[in-house]
Amino acid sequence: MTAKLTFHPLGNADCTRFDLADGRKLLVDYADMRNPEDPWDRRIDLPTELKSDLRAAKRDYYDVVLFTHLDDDHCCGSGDFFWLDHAAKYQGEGRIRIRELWVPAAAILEEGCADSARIIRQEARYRLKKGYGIRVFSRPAKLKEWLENNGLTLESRAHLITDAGQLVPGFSTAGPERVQFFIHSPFGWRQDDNGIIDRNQDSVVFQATFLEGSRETHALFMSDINYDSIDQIVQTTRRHKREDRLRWDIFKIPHHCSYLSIGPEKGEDETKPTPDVKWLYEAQGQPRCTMMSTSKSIPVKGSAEDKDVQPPHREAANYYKRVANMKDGAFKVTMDLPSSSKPKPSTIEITERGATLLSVSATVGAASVISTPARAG
Amino acid sequence: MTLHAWWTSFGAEVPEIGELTPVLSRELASLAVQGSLPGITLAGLRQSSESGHAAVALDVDVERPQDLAHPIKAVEPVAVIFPFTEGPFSVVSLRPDFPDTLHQNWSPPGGPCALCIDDRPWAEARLTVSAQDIAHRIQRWLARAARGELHDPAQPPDPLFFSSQIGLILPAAALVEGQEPIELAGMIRPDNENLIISRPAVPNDPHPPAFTVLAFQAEPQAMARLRHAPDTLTALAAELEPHGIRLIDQLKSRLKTWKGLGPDHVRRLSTRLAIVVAFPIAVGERPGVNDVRAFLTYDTAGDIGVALGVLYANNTGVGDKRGYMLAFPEGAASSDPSRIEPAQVHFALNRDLAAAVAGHAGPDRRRAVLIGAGSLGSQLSADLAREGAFEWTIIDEDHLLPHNLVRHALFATDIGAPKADALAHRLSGLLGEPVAAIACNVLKPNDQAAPKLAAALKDADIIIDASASVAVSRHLSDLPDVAARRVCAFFNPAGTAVVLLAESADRALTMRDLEAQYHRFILTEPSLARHLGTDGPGVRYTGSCRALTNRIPASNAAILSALAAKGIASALADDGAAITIWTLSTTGKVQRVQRKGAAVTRVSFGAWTVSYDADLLDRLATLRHAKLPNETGGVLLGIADMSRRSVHIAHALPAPEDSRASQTGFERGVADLAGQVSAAVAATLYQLRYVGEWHSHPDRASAMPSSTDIVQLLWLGQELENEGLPGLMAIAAQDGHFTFAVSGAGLTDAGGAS
Repeated sequence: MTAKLTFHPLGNADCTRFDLADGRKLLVDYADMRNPEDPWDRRIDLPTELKSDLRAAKRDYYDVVLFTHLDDDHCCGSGDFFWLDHAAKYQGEGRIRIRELWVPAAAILEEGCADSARIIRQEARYRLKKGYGIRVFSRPAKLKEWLENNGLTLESRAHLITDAGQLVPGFSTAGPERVQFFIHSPFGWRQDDNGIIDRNQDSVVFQATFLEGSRETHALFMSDINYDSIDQIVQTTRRHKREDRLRWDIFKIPHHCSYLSIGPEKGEDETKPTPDVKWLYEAQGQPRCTMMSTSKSIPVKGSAEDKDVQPPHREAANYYKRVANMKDGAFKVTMDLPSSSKPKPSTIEITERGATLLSVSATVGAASVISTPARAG
Repeated sequence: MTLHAWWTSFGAEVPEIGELTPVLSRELASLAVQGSLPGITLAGLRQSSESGHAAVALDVDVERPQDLAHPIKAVEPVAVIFPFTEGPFSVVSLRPDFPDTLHQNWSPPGGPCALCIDDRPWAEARLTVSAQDIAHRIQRWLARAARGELHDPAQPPDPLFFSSQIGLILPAAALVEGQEPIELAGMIRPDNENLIISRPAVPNDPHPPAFTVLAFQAEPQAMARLRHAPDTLTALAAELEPHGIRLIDQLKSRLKTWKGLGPDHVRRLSTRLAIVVAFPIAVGERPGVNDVRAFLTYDTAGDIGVALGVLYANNTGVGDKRGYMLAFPEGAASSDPSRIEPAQVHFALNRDLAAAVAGHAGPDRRRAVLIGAGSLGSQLSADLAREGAFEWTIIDEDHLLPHNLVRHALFATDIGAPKADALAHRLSGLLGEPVAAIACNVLKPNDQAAPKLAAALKDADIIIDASASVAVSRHLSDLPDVAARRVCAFFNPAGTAVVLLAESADRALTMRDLEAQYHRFILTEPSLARHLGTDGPGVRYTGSCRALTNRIPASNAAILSALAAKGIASALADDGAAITIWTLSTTGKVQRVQRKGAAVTRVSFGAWTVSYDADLLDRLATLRHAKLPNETGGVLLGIADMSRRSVHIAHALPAPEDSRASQTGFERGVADLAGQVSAAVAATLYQLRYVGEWHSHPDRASAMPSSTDIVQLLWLGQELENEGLPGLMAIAAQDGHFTFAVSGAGLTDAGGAS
């Protein structure tokens, strides 16, 4: 079995499933955005989709669920979908268990959050206190403080914490899973300096490196960070001379194709990147790479959507498209695959030939069988 | 991107899809415009009334890995060319620099590269062809090219195919590496002008040959294949130059040595030339397999010598006027290039045919028509004829070729002869009376053969279909006004089993019905699990070019043919329909399994006909009963014939284990289902496919669809639209009541209390 990454059409929101070579399943973010009241909502019914995949694999859990940060478009509806250990009301038949929950330290420390963010925070805090099934990224001073306030020490929880610049334990390109995860962000010091939590900039950024045969394939997941955070990551990585950690074949475009992840000015028709961002895209992108924008369709110039301040931004997309063309690669939007009228989950397969965005192999003839029919009475 | 110049030179632009003549071209273009073919964009329409073709240009998004096996672009422009009258379509790349890959067809010089997305004979392909299928095949071909998966390792090295009408039989000795190419003389049989039989030239040959064969060995090098068929000597010389063959110089020097007025000189110089070139090609790690090509000149060797300026015709009035003299000094080569045409090369085989035929007498004067005088047809008819059976009419369109000999009842003396005539002659010798032969394609008889064929079929008592073609079998099944009982025999692809399908004497059960029941038999009889196994060498169903022949040992073919002969005799002694399969183990043990035919119901739903049989209903009832009081359901598998718009439901799978069932509802699960369906589809060699869903209703509920069922049926219709099929749903209720419903075409109540 080779690894597959499956992106879900959720509008401006994220949920990517990693099916590893050894059968393990990881979920990066979970945002159930569909409005069931609206028959025209083209966003996918995420819980149904994920559950049929799990049922087809005869399992009721994910090995890992990573919330890159706690904004609604990355964790909406989690309280209805997952089995959570911290409160009985999140337990019951049909809920999906999480063997290991991965969160940024900000998700533990944040105060005053509500809804799904609060539910995930409570679950993360519960697991960290109990000392199982949790991995926390970065160790700002406040985390030590929080642990001490709860009668614990940083040392007793150190094995559950991974800092930026480290590989996540338990995954190796030499093991049967043939993948490793390198953490780029969050930086502990950043939060120490700022004192307050900025969810987007303190979100988890990672590089997954897959090995098939002798071919390494790199996937860079940049959550929702902005150009200045990318600048920091690039500068830090280059200072350590670990440019290979920013090489990418697959790129999860940050922040639903916002221009602010490229540069400070939107630009007339194309956003101009900062020098570090330019290096990341233009020097580090590999031939025939795939860039995936987890967003709505890119607006047409002059349309109402184009005037909306919210992403996706046409100007940003134009820059990404130029990079994709330069690399003979592809810039794709989750809500446009395979067609904007009927978006479906898209899968990237990783083989010894690198990454392939499946368009024919995955669908022809198989679609009818995999999808659950409606009901019959 | 600049498109291949061919595109703009082809016919004229067509502004509206509706103005395209071929139906399939309109369907393809409309689907592309509607956005119903993900990843495919309509790029242009052209049509040429002169040539009678329409072309649809498409931009195809290619599913590519990052590391490409061939430089395939993210978007490839292609054109699909359809003939005005029903017939095979072709696919060409509109990219001028399209790379050399396996599985391309030959195209004329300067023409676009032709992709071999489907090499099945059109008679077979037309049964399943749809615009969607063409689009999928193009996408899959390009995806496989990008991944370097066009070549199936089980397949012999497969050069570019070209469809030449003319064949050239070449002794294998003609191309032994390291030896001087030998001179061969080519003869043409009077009863088959399209085949040239070559053998080493002999002096003072009493039968003057039509051709002199010149063989050349190209130097090994990467990509050493021709992709375009040169049509002049000059063009061929240019193609061969990079392969280390200086064709014109070689011809000049040979022709110079042939000058003269003696009989051998005249013999050589008055023949046409057959130029044979062997290109060593490497497939993967395996080196040194020759791709052999032949080109026939229109001019005689002497005239070519004149055109090249090395000879002049003997006009001295002295000696044989057909001779040629050496031109001195050498003249300039004529600017008018000498035309050539390609020919298909067949290697002569040097093997004996082992015929193990045992028989005992039994007079039977029933009139039998044998369709297909191949391995099975020839052997079983020879067996039966040795037993004194039947007044035969033999129908086959092929001519006997060397490679047929390994398993055929005919011998080398008949090479080149029409198989039907040769077999008839042979049976006639066994029976001591004349045997009729009609050399024609049973699907498309020519004007001369058609009335004879119709009369033979009408007069027949028995029709034996040994064509090994689903298309032929279905065609025979459907023939109106032909009362004869049909039986059909064929080998499984591995050549380890023979299948005999026998219609009932009253034809209430036809070959089409038995075809569906045969596939259910394979899925439900445990000993047949490997029946259509594809792991050994043999038929491939990759949808691309196939090997010329299956690898079946003559001993298997002989044993199985004899069993089929025996089976036909006993099937005809019983009026009922039956499916019988004999399987040969490696130790020589034979296992026979048989199932009686099950009664069939056919229902029309608008344009579509749906058929199902009593065994299927039994199975639905049993599956339903096992889950009472709850509802249950699952997937339906069947055979879809696009050309006839028919669906034969063959089999029903039980509910996946994650299904949710209650007394008032059923939701079909998905656990393991994809695997089960693909296993079943693979076990029937892709003959069965997903055709719809079934579910049960509880006791005391009617079989009529509920409102949720209607919603589900609409959903099915949408899902199957992509495959060109209607949505199909079966409902099983109490006391043997069933309903079959087709999206957009109504429903039927099938059967009352049993």
